[in-house]
Amino acid sequence: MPKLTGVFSEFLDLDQVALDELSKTLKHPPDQIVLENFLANRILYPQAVPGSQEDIEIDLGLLQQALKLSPKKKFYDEKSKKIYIPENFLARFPDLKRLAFVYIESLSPQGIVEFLVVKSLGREEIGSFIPLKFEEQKGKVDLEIEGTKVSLSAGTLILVPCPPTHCHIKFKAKGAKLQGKSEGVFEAVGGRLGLLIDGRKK
Amino acid sequence: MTLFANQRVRVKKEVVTHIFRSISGGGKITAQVGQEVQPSDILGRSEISGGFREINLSEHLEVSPKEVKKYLRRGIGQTIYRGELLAFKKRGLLSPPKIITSPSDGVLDTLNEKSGELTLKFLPQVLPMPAAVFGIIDAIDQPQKKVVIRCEVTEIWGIFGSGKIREGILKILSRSDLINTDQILPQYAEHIIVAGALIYKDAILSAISKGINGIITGGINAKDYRAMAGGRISFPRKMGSDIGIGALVMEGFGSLPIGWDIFEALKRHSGRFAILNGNSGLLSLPSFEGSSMDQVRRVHLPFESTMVVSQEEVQSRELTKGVQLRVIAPPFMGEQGNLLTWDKTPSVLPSGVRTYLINIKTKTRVIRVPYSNVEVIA
Repeated sequence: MPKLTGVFSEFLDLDQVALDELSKTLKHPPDQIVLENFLANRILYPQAVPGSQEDIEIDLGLLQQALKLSPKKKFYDEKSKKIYIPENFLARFPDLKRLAFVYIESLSPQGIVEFLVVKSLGREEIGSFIPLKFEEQKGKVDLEIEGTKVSLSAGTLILVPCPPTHCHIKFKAKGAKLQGKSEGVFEAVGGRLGLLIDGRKK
Repeated sequence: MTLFANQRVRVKKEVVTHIFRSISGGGKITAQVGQEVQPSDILGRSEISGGFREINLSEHLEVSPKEVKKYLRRGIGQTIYRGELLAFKKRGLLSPPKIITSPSDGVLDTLNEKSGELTLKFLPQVLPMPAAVFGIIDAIDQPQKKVVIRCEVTEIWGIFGSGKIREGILKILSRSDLINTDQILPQYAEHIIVAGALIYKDAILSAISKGINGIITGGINAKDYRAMAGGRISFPRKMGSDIGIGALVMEGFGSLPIGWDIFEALKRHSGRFAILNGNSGLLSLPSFEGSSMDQVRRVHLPFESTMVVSQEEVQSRELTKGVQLRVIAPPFMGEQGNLLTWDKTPSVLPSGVRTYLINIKTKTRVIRVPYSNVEVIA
C-alpha cells in the first residue's frame, strides 16, 4: 500500500522556511537548532501528529511560513476570491479559527474572500473573511448579521457565526470603511467557520 | 478499527550481493574470476606512492649546478636506500670530503642542471589487499583495478546519508552518547565509527582530518546535515554529495540514540570489515562465517541488479498485535517496542488533535502514542 503522508507533504520547499520569521510567530520559541531539527523531522516524517500544545503551535507557525512560500494559486484564487483548505488540514489543525487566521496572515487576501474546504468529492463552503479599513483610531463599525448586532472597533478581529450557504449583513461605519463604503448591505458565504471580521488594518 | 502505519526496512539479513574491492595506485590484481575467497586471501597488491623530496646538491657540495652530475655516485633512474652514498666530493689535504648520503629509500628521478636540485622519488609502499570477505569473484576490471565479489551481507539501511562508497573496520564508540572532538582519536583512521546519538560538526571535521572513513550516528543537527547535503533537506535526495567522509544517520534530526534493532546488528559486527555507501543510505556488513558460502554458491547475480543501490520504498501496512515498532515523534521519539493493544475509541490529545492511541511495550516500560507516530520496522 502507498506510504502515509501528511499535511506538510503538500509543501515542497518546507526546508526553505525562514526560521527567524517562524520564531517570531511563537509565544515561547525554542532554540534555533531545536526549531530547525523539529522542522527537518516534519519533512522526514510528515505523517506524525503533534501531541502537545507547544508542538501544534510550532506546526501552525510552520504552516503559516510554508503557505507564504507556496505558489499562491494552490491555496488562494485571487480572481474568484476563494481560499482553499484541503480536507486533511482540518483533522491536523482542529482549531478552525486558528487555521483560518494562519491562512489570512500568510496569504494576505484583498477584499472579502470565501473559505472552502476541498474534499475528495467536492467543496464545502465554511465561511468568509471580511476586512475592514479603519481611518481613525476611534472609528467604529456596527454590523447586523442575520438579526445579531455586533460592534467592532479598530485593532480587533472577531469570529461571528453565520449559517451555511449565506447570511445577510447590514453595516454602518464611522471612521472606517467596508468595501470602500460607510454603510450598506451585502451577502456573505457562511458555514461551520462563520465570518472572520478583521478590523486590524488602517 | 483498522490502523495503518508506514513500514521501513532497516535490517536485512543474509542478502547475497556484489561488493567491490579496489587496488590503489599502480598495483596489480592477482586473483582470478571464479575464485572462492576467504577474508585473509590476497586479491592483489596496492602500490602507494610515498611522494618525493628535492635535495639541493649544488649547495650541499658547494659546486655550481652544472658540476653536480660528476659527483653523483648513483645514476638517474637507479634505486638507492637510506644511508647509502648519494654524492661524494674530495677536497684538499686539510679539508674533509663532502659526503652526501640518501635520506630515505627511493629512486633518483631527475637532476635539474640549472638549479643543481636532485629529485628523489620515494619507493612506493606495497600493500597486500585482502579479500576481507567470504565470497566468489564474479568479475575483475583490470583498467579500474576493481574486483567484484559475490558475498553474503547484512544490509543496514539508514534514514539518510552522504558520501561515496568507503570501507573500513567497524568501531563502536557509543549507542546513545553525544560525540565531540575529544572522542575522535587518530587510531580510528580508516575505520567506520558508530558515533552515538548525535555527532557535532566539529567532531565530523575532526574525523575527516584524522582519516576516518565513515560515521554512523543516530541523529544529526539539521544545520550540519544541510552543510553535508548541499543545503537542502528533502527526501528522497536527488543528488549525492561527498564532504570527504561517509555518513549514515539512522533515526532522524536531533539527539536520537541508535535504535536497538540496528545497534544489535552493529555490535555483532564490531571490529570487522564493513562497507558504507552514504549516498544510498546503506551499510553492508559482510558475513564472517564460512557457512555463508553455501548461500553465495546457490545464488547467481547479474551485475545490473547490484550496480544501482536503492532502498526499498516505504509502504504502509496494517498494524497488528506484536508487530515491532519505532516511534517517530516526540516525546518518545526513537523508542522501539512491540504493539500491545490499541484504543477502540479516539482520544483528544493536548494539541487538540483527535486520534487513536496505541500501547507499545518497550524494553523498560509501556508507552502510549498516537498510531500515526510510529513506523513498523519488522
